[in-house]
Amino acid sequence: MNEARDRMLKEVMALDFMAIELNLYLDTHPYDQRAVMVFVDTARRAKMARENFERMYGPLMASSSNSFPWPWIENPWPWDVQ
Amino acid sequence: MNPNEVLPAALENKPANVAAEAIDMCKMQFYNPMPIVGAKLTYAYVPFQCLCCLYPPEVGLRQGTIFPELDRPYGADPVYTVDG
Amino acid sequence: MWVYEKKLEYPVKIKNCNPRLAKYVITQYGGPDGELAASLRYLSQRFSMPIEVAKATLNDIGTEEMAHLEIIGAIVHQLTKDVPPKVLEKEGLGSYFADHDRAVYPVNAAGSPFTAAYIQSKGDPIADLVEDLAAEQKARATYENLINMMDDPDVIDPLRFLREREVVHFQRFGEVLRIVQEKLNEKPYFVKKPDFMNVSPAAANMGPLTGVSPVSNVSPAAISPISNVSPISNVSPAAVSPASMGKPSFVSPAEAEKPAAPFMNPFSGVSPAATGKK
Repeated sequence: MNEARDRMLKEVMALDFMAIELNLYLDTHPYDQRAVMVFVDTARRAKMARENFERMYGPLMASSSNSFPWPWIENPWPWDVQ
Repeated sequence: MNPNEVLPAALENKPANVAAEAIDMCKMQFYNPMPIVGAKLTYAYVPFQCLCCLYPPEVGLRQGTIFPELDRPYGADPVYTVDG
Repeated sequence: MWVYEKKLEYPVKIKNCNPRLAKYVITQYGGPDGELAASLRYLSQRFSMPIEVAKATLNDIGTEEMAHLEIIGAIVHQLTKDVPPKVLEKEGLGSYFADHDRAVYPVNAAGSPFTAAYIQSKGDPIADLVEDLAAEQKARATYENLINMMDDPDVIDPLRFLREREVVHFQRFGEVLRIVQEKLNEKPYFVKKPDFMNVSPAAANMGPLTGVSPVSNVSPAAISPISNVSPISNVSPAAVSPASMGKPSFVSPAEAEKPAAPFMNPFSGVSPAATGKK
């Protein structure tokens, strides 16, 4: 189960990382249409991956905590070895 | 890890000759950086990057960049390796 | 403002504690070229940047550096977790333990606490951006020194990732620097007339530099030996030149005729430019 969690989290990380890279690229290339296209696509995929993960393993952001008791403090913090 | 090993992953569904050509073009682009036109003395310049191929997300995360032309792993690139 | 995400930018999973490595890695937490210095530097300098591109880049890279700070903190934490004081002392962390136990505290490798004197925020965009370029290279060099001292692949892996990020940030700051230089050339406000020249209008007109020498009129194009060399660069230098930044259309009509770049959509493996044409 832990392994499955890691795999899903890694997918979120990879897509978010790609969004960060394209974000930085677009900061200095604001008129690069192809990069904007890839960014939009990446952001959409990242959102989907994040929602999938959160459904299974709890919120990645406090704002997506929507159950009782408060789930934000439940799942492990990223710096702790799991 | 050098681009040779990584790029084909992004080109899996393409015919071999198209993939090879694309990789060549990519490489040519980053080994022949754009000339800096009208450079002035006393200014510092870095060539502008052009969007080329991109690594798929997992490869990008592993390499630390999604841009093959910026991928300079320590120990593999003489420009970025002094004592490696 | 910022929003926290409960994940690292790059995973850190260290199986074996090793305080010796922690002692060195912590310099990227609170050392002169560390991530704390980097994020404070960029996030402070952004306020005085003259153009939007520079503000955006400093803001976004400064934000990413905070994620890197968290990665380094996680490495130090995992390397020292539950290590007995005796072992910490043997590995040279005795004086650290006396003050901070196994907590993560911003110091450099020699134990000096973090200081804002590591960074500068000058109010001059060129000076600030050139400092940022240097900072990225210093951080890259530090990561290489650290990688050379590490013997645990679990530690080397995230350090390698962080090192590569410095290379990418250097490229971005270089691009920002060019755009800023171009903007400043449009209206050279950075060579403000010194106050002493304002004494009287007559005095100002008699400055020794007002008669421009004929050599300085050589146009940059005349000097540039190779303005159109690379047949493979799909975007003409003029099109990427910062001068075109203000214009709404980024791709000139002439350029649209040129063969499309071998652009790979990382998801489909198909070039959008190519599909658009066929």
